[in-house]
Amino acid sequence: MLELRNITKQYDGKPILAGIDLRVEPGEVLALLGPSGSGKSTLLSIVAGLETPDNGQVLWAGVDVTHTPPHRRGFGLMFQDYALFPHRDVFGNVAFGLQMAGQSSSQVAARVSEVLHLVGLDAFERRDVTSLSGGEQQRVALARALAPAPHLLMLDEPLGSLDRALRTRLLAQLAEILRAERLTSIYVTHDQEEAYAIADRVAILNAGQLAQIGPPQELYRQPASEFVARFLGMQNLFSARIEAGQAHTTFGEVPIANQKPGLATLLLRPDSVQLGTQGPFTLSGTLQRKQFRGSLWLAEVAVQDAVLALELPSSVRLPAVGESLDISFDPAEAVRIFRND
Amino acid sequence: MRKLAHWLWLPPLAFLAVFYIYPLASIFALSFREGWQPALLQLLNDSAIHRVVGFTFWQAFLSTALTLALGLPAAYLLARYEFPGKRLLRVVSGVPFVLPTLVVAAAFNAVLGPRGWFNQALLAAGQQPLEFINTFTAILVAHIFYNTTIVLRMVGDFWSRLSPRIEQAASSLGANGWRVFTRVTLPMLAPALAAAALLVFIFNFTSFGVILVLGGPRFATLETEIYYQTVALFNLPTAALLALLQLLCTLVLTIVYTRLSARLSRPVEQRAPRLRLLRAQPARWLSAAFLAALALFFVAPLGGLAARSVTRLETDRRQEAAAPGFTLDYYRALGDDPRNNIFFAPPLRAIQTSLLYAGATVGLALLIGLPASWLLSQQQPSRLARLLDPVLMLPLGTSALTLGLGFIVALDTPPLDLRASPMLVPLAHTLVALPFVVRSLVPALRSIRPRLRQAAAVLGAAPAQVLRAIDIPLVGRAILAAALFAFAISVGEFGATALIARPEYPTMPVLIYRLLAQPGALTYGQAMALSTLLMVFTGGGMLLIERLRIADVGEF
Repeated sequence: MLELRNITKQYDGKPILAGIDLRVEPGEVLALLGPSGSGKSTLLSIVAGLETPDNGQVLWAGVDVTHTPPHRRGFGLMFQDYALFPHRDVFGNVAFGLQMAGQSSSQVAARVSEVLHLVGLDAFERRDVTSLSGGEQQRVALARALAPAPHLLMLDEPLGSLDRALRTRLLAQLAEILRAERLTSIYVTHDQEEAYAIADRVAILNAGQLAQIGPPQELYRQPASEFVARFLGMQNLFSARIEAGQAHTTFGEVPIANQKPGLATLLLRPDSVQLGTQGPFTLSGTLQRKQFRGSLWLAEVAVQDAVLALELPSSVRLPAVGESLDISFDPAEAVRIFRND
Repeated sequence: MRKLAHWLWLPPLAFLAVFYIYPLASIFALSFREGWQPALLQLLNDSAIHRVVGFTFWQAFLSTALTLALGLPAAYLLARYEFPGKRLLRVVSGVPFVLPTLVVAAAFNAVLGPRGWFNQALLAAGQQPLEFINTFTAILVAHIFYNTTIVLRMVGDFWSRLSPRIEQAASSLGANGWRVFTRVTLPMLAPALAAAALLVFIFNFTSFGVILVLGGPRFATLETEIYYQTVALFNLPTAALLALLQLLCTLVLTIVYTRLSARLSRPVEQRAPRLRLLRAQPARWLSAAFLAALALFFVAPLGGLAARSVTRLETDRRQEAAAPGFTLDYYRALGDDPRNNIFFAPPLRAIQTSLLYAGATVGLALLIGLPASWLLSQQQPSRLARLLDPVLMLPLGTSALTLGLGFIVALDTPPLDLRASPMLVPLAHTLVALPFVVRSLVPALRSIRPRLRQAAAVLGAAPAQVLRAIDIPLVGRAILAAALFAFAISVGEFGATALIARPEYPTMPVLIYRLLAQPGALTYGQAMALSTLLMVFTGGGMLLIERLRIADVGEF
């Protein structure tokens, strides 16, 4: 398995990676998620051996490979822009790694048709790679990375340049392939939905540091910081002043337990709030907007000086826009506090 | 690496300094050897010079106007409609552009010359032959033949990117067809139209072979006058003055063109519209007839040339027995010296000479072009590199006659006396070929993104394998393409060669020129055969270059 110890990297004195510790278990798909410029691609290049870290170690199965050149690592990397060889056809691209490994031409041919079948590109062997569509190029790049059966497969924003519909379709296929091949993989992306869909665990990178690592559900239920919450697209983040078991916010005071006084950011989960007064804590407000989304209602409720975004089951009956309504929730479940001090 | 980069500039820089800047400076020095006034006075008072300059502009203007008149309707049809044979028309229209002027001159001679297909047919029918060679018409027709493809490509491509929706919007706002064209379409096309017209004008302005061979002695442009003054009168000071005038004109024209084409690259509307099929019946037949005639115009002279080289139309005095019809005699006669004097080497020797010169040109052009291209292809070119990029293109804006004259003026005295050197011609050809070599190498070298090497390394390729599997195949093709460019330019070059080639070692174009000026059916047949071979050499080279191009090797 892969282990990274205290990986540090600077460019022109600017820190890109500041002490990354990370383990990827055998057969695990780890998503590396972060905004652009957070150091994801640099980390990937270091694992692949295309760059060396200023400090720290890359270990594979307990062996230090930090200074092993890329062609001796046996890792696969699928580039964001695919980097297909323009002078080789589809077969020539996919066969490349096998030929470098010195396989016989019959072995090469068999494996190439096997992986091309896996990615759904049978009969594409003699096609010119420059004549392929974006989705086809993506699959050739994947086949090329898969063909030598790498110990570790790295994918750098593999769906980045494709359109939405194609992404959704290829994402499902990709997840299936990774699972079927039981490949240890690192999947770099800036799209949380992609990360959720494909990964066993997600590592969130922020400005060269790991912000949080864990299974997708854990990230979603328990974001470790305001950055993670914002990055995962969570709404209802309010600044709050905490005094004597109460959080003072623009929509009123919310009782919270086990928090010292001070400044914080409060997250109210949109899906943990119900209509009516049955919950332990009730707020009154005015319905400002409602949108029917099939399985749920998206509602915006003005409470004092704030607007809360809520996700309510589509079975509830909402009043007309502009009318008042009560909402309630259990602070222990619906509220999360990120300390700012 | 940085250190090496500075040294790599040395070969191209030294080459241009010695073989471009120094000859041009020598032309300057020769023109102004007695100061500014005499030169200026000669320019102002010599009415012969005025006539030459006037005719140069006039023929270039008229040729350009006619080229546009023929090219614009075709550009419109290519841009807006789908029709069978469209790709073929595009290819066919581009063929003349890459052929040497002597091949084109010989081709028109084969079709419309006194011994050509048309006049032989007229003679056989007892009619008066048509006078075409040595007329103004011949000059104009050959120029149209050469340059229509520029209009088709530059205006046609631009036109096809203009959305027809804009025109539809104009007509929905009440503009009739004529007003849509004059108020909307034409203004939008204007930059492409102006750039194409100017480029065609520049080519016509510096045209040499066509005017010399098809126009004959009655027509003198700056180019042919430089040749005449140099070769016939050996009046180098006047030739130098004319060359200077020519340089000034092309410089101004080129600067204006560069400005215009910079504006052209600003995209107006990028989405390619769906092409229609022409449906209206009379328009449809008219368009079809027009396009077919156009295609015939491009194909007929070249086909006529090849056919004429294997067909005997008349009996030669020396070969009474030979009957008209298919013959390979003209090719068999390539080894014969037709006149047996110093100016008439056997065609076979001209082929040999041309190939040797071309080989030397390829070597030289790569030797100088490769380091220059490598430097220009770097991610962050140094300030020196950015400065020298336009300098490398300079020979492109200088007429071949001026380059040749510069060689004669500058390279015949110590320390650089190359008059008798067999390298003189390859050096001139390298100068002409260098811009093309650099322009074809740079994008290919740029296309080898570090990413491709990284991808290969991750897939298990050791550094030596990366070189073998990635760098060499990608650059190799580009080098081969650049070499073919240099080859095709060298074997076809006429202007500079006509001035500097040694009389006893003519190249193929030079010998074709001499043969065409001679009487005799066999001599004519030799010219046809030699021209056909030259057409095959250059056309084949260009075809190979097209095939070598990796579809999408440019910037990603």
